[in-house]
Amino acid sequence: MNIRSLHIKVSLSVATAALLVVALSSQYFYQHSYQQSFADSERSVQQLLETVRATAAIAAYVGNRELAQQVVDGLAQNDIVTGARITVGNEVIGQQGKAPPNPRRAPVTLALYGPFDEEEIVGELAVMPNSSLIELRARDSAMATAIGLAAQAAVVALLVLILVYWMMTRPLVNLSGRLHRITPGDGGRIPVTGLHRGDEIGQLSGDINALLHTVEAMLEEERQLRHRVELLETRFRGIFEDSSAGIFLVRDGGLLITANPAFFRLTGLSEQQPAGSGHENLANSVFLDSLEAGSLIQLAAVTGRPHSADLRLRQSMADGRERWVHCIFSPAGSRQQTATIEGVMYDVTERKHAERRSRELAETDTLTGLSNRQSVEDALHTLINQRGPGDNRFAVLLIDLDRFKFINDTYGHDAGDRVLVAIAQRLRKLVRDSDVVARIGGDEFLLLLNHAGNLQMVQRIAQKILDAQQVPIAVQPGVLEVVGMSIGIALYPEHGDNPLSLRKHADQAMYQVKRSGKNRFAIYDPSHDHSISQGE
Amino acid sequence: MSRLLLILLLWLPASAFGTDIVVVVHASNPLTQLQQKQVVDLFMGRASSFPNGAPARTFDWNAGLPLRELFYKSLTGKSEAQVDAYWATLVFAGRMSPPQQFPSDQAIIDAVAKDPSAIAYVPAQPLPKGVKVVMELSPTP
Repeated sequence: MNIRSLHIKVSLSVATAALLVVALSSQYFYQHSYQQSFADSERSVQQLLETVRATAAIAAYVGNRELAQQVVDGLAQNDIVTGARITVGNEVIGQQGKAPPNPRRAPVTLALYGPFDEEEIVGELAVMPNSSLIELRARDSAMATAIGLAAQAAVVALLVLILVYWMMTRPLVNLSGRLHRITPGDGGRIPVTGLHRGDEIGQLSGDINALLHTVEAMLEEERQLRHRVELLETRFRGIFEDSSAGIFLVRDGGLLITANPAFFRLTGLSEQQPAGSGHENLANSVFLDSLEAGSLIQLAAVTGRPHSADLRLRQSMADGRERWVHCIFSPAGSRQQTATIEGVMYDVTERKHAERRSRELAETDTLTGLSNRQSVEDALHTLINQRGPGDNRFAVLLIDLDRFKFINDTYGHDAGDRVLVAIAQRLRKLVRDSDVVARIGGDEFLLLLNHAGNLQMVQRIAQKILDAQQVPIAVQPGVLEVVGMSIGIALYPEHGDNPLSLRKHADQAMYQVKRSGKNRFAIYDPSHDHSISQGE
Repeated sequence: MSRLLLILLLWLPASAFGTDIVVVVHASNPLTQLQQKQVVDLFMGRASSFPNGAPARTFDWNAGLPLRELFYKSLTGKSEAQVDAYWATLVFAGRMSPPQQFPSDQAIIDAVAKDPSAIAYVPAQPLPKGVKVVMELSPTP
């Protein structure tokens, strides 16, 4: 049994209180009873003396020893007297029993007056009370009283204990035990018995039941809520985890808070790195285009609107190609929060490379690797649009091979291709990288010379090109051919402010060369619509 | 003599109904006067001798006589019944006996006259030579 149970506590308290009461009252009543009993005995002795007083007085008066002896014998018959004595003057005329060797009390004496003269004291009657017997009786009586009292108190305490147990402790213990076994949510309730309907225990049970009901309702509500939240969370986590797009959160302009597996897969960062501990700016550690990425993040934070771009990552593809992602940065969370930015990136590498390939395909001549017609026209447009009037001189060189048809017809297409490739290489070598070299037709080439500062410089380049063609080209193993070319030149902006007129005027200059014997260059002359300057 | 008798007759009722009582002893007794206490001690058995040391014998009247009642009442303040009870107590204890009793004053006077140690009480009257008065008792009203 639990030593700290209510029942034990109540029992101990009642028992202790009863014991205390019994002890104190017994003590008191013992004393009282003892004294009472003792006084009774004393009085008994006195009364005894009074009984024999007259006779004793007669005996003393007459000095009659027989009578005196009878009196003391009679007295000594009493238990409470151990001895008696009648004296006349100094003479003992009757004695019975003996005085104890060390009497605890003085003998009880009674003066005897003459039977015929109330004034005269004729003798003295003395008795020795039986002190030990008196005390014994007093003790016995007191003890009986005390024991009776104790028994009574014990019975009352027991009754109180039983009643308290029956009416309070047991119901409380039951209540406590039932409540202890109830787990909120299991639907358990405390039964209210008719015995306690209306009293405090019944009220307590009712209140507990009401409380349980409320708690269960709240728990159920919370459970459903949690269930819904879990469902949502599972869904969202699924989206987050399984997404092929990298999703991440950054704060303070670049510190990574969290990210999904796809992000780590794409960027190659370690997922083990605890979130928020990265001191490195995400823009620097992840993107090759770190400046652009950083500015996009700032932009999203400042404007509060999403910003996106195609960016290159530091981690390249397995085959060594650059990895491209399309990245959208948008502000996340409330405005109060310090600029948390949500980022989504998805891999656009394949698309990016396909785009580049198709662009290259569109811009280059497959045979020679030079720019094609479309490309050079775009470049021409760009040059014209980029440059304002001022520092914007450039030259357009139109080149046509002189004996290409002959070589093609004589040695075949392979030989012709070989010639074209060789010419293309030569041209590419003779001009600067920033200059555009394009093949725009079967044997027609177009050169755009940037920064063609003056006419002399253009002429010098054109002459260098012509000179280079004196070297024969191996059209077939063992067969060398020299292929000349005719070059028509138009200058921007003198000879045209648009691609069309520049082409047209270069073309006119070139036909001028063709007509006058080939293997030369000519610069367009607007005065008579013929080329004026001719090179050899 | 007739006159004396007359006086006696006149006096008798008086003595019988509360007249003086005299305590008498043998004429040869050297005592002339006894205190009431001494008389009480003698009659109640405490003293068995006269104050001078001579032995004493008390003579009483028969129980039930008015004089006896009167005497003890006057002498001790006790009733005759109390006195009888007193003697009964002493007699029962043994060795003590109450005074010898006589039926009339003549018998008592004769007995006193014959006994030198005697002491008795009689109504106050002229007494023969053999006895003498040692105390007079005036009955309480």
